[in-house]
Amino acid sequence: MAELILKDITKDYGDGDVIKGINLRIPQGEFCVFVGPSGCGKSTLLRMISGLEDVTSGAISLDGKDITKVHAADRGMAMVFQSYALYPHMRVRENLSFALENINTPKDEIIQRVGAAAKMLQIEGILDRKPTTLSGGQRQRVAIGRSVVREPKVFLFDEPLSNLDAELRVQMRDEITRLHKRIGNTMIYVTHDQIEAMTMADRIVVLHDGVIEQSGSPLELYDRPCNIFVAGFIGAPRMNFIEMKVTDVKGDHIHLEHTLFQLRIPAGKHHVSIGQEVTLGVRANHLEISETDNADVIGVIERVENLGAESHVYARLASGEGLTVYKQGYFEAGDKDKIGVKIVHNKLHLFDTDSGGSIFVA
Amino acid sequence: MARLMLFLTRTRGVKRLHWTDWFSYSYLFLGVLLMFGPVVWMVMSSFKTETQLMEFPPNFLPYGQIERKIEGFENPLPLFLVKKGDYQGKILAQSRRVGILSHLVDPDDPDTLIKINVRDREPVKEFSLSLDNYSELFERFKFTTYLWNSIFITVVATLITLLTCSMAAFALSKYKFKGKLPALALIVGALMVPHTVTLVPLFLITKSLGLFNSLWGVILPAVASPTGVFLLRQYMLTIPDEILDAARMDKASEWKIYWRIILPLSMPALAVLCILSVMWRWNDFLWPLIVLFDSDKFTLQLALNSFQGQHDTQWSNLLAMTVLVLIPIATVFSFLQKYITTGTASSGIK
Amino acid sequence: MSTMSKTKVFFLFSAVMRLVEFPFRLFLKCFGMRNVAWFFLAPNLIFFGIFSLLPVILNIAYSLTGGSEILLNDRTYIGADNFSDLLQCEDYMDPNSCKEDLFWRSLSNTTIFVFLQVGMMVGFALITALILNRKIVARGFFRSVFFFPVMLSPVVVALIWKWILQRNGLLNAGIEYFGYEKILWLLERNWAFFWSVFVSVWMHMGFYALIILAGLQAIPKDVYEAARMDAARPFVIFRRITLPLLMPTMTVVMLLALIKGVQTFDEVYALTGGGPGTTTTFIIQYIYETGFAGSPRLLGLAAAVSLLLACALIILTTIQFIVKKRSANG
Ligand SMILES: Nc1ncnc2c1ncn2[C@@H]1O[C@H](COP(=O)(O)OP(=O)(O)O)[C@@H](O)[C@H]1O
Ligand SMILES: [Mg+2]
Repeated sequence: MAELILKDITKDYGDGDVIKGINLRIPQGEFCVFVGPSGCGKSTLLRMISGLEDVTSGAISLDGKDITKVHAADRGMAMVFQSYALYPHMRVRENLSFALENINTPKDEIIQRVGAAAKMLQIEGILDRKPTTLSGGQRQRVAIGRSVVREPKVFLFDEPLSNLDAELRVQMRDEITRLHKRIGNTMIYVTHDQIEAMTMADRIVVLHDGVIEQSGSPLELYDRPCNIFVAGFIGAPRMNFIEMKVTDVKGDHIHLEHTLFQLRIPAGKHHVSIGQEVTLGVRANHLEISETDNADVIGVIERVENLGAESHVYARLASGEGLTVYKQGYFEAGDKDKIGVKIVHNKLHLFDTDSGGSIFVA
Repeated sequence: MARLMLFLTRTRGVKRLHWTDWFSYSYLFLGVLLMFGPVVWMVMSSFKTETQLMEFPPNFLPYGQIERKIEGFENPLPLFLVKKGDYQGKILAQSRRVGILSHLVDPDDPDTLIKINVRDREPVKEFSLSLDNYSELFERFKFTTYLWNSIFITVVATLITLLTCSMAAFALSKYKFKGKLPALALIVGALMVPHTVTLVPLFLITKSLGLFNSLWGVILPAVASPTGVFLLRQYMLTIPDEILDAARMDKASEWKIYWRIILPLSMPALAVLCILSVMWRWNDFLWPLIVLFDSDKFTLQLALNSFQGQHDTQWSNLLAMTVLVLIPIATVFSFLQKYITTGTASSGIK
Repeated sequence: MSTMSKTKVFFLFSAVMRLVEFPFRLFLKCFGMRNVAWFFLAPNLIFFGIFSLLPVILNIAYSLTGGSEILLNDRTYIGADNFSDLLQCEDYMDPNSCKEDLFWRSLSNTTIFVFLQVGMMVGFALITALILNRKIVARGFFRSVFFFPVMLSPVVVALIWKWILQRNGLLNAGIEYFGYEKILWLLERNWAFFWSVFVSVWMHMGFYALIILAGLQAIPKDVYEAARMDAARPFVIFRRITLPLLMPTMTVVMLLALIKGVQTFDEVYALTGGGPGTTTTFIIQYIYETGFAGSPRLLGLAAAVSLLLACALIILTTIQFIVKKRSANG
């Protein structure tokens, strides 16, 4: 079975490590998404898996076989590139069959496999056209088709949807997921868009500066981010962070203090010490707008995004932090209006400000 | 006509022609005359017979004397118009000329001989293209040999140039390797030192390789054109690396990537280099002049030059030959002129 | 080309290319994937080394030897004698007093020629480019009219003009029509020199006009529009906007013309043969005649002159690169 294992992978282009020791196990059939801000080394990692880039140190194995030194074409992987990288001078049909010709596949098998892939991706009608005459979505399909015909053990995608417009992106997202369900191969998908990651992945691997910050199922990452970076990266709108200080730990409650307000939150078995600097993380939908009298904290409205079914209210505290509050339905308010914000106490994240690590999730 | 005038004068918006427009069009008109005139003149002249060429002042169009086959005479006879005397206004054929007397016969009545002074008659001419100059090239001169030599050099040299330059450009644009920078620097350096300043050692090398007086001695020294490498490299840099990566994933060897992906995608640049190379080789003069001394090995350019060098220049055949040498380049140019001019303007290479 | 023969050509092409796959594999086996670039560089580098690099080195060696032997081994080392011979003059103002008087004469001929030729050529090229840059009808046609002589062979160009300039040629017919005496255009010193300049300008002007035209078209339209908004008159626009913005292009064109002009040989040699006398003998012809056409062949002397010329060209090209770089950087 196609189980991919990365062991202590590093990459150095000449001025310091870009990838700093990645350990990862991707089981057969998993749809694994690498997500992270651009420049964090996602493409580099993917290219090392594909064999297009050498690893500086570490080992890659597929099905228990060490493939670190195996040539890209012989690893049984196929890649879909960000720019599609279709061969502009070849017809779609030749684009699809090029790889098969290179491994001397018999002619009728080529025809049959190209036909099958074209049918699956609904590009039968454009087989005799050149890539330049195709729309973005069609090109995307051809690029995927090109990897499908090779029947690889592992599919690699490098930000394949980032050149499409929003609507097509949603549609193609769906199609790739369905493709995965249909053929069940291992897929590794790179994106900087956390929504793509959340909607498509079996498992998300969050990369940051060449290291894995956290890996897990989308909901795991959403509910229990293990540090401030992951918490901030996963979920939209972005999680709110407020720096506070632990003033007291009493029984099963913790007292937190901020220049503007105080908070008493229920604590689990987690250890915090008095005087510790912590960062409170709370998602927008766990904040409520209330009367200023019984609010936890009061802010000034900077901006309201009315999206129709829901509204995002951006407020700023007197101490400078911004807060995003989620509200169902319309929210009408003038700029500079004061609003009260209530914090839902049982949906809180507490991080150590210094290390960024998660202390607990309420 | 009025609409044409309107069209021609409608240049600066709705206003009438500005004096600068008059100046521009006069300049352009003169330009056309000066640039085209000489070539047209030469082409016209090449269709004239040797006698017509001697005429002074010369006629623009090739006018030849009409000749007529007359019964009782073996060769066709030239026709004359009689200007004086009893036969004034009649057109007669001259059978022969004795001193200042011309023996004429009436084409309708070939038996009576008419004798008149040569000054009292003038030749009857008509527009006629004489192809003799051309046919003689093939009969009397080794024109086909020269033509073959020129074609051989042009075609073979261009093919080799395209191959070696595109391979080098591929390496220099798509690979990272030790020694890339020195290789690039060397090529830039070579741009500074054209072959015209290394004739002596080049001559020696060609001789010691046994290529002296051989067409290969003309072909090989310039196939590693640094201009060509540069031109192609600049173009190949614009081909995205992802396409090569895609091909690598598709198990194409690097060689296959070169000829199946890079070459077809570099077609525009290859075409420019192809045209340049054809032009360079077809027109090449100094180096063949040094390498080839046997007239069997002469290219058209050398043959042209050596003909005109011979003491009394035989203009009739020379003109025809010049026209034939000019034709291939002129044809290429007239078909691809837009392409060539924009290509030259953007690359700055000739 | 018909599709049929097109596929045939492609088939042949791919068959040949497939064959090269074997030596390519062999190369990879011997040298590894790391050195794959050298496989592609090799053919070019081999030719380059033999016919471009080696000559540069050998040229220096040759310039230090004398005699008429061809092979370097047989030649005698004479140090810098070739150079001192070249430079030996009693009076530097008078070429006739020099040991190698022909060198000095060709040098001064070349200098005068280059000044006149570059001046005339760049001047006309500028005017032509400015006119072609206007809103004129049939611009493409006129552009081609001025450009096509660039493609012609120098020998052909020389013959075209020789035919016009010959004793009973078109030009003499013209001046006789206006009542003047026939002139032997190519046999009178000054006229011969003039016509060498003229013919070479005729031949190359279009190329430089095209480059200047490209430079003109690279000037952004909005700069002109801004100037027109500032109510600048056309002449002011030309002087204050077009010319300064065109300056980098003009400098490059000038240097390029200079570099090519110094190496003028083909068209003038075919037109005048360097004559009458040595009036139109330029430096390349001097090298050619000293090293190859004359007897004995003075290869050492020819190499020495080549070396001096190469130095001059390297300096000119370096300046050109610097100017080009600087104008590209802003
Ligand atoms: N070929 C290369 N040479 C040198 N540095 C590179 C190269 N490719 C990528 N990098 C560097 O590696 C880092 C990660 O790049 P990449 O993997 O492309 O990021 P991502 O795909 O996550 O946006 C970046 O800082 C980039 O500058
Ligand atoms: Mg990337």
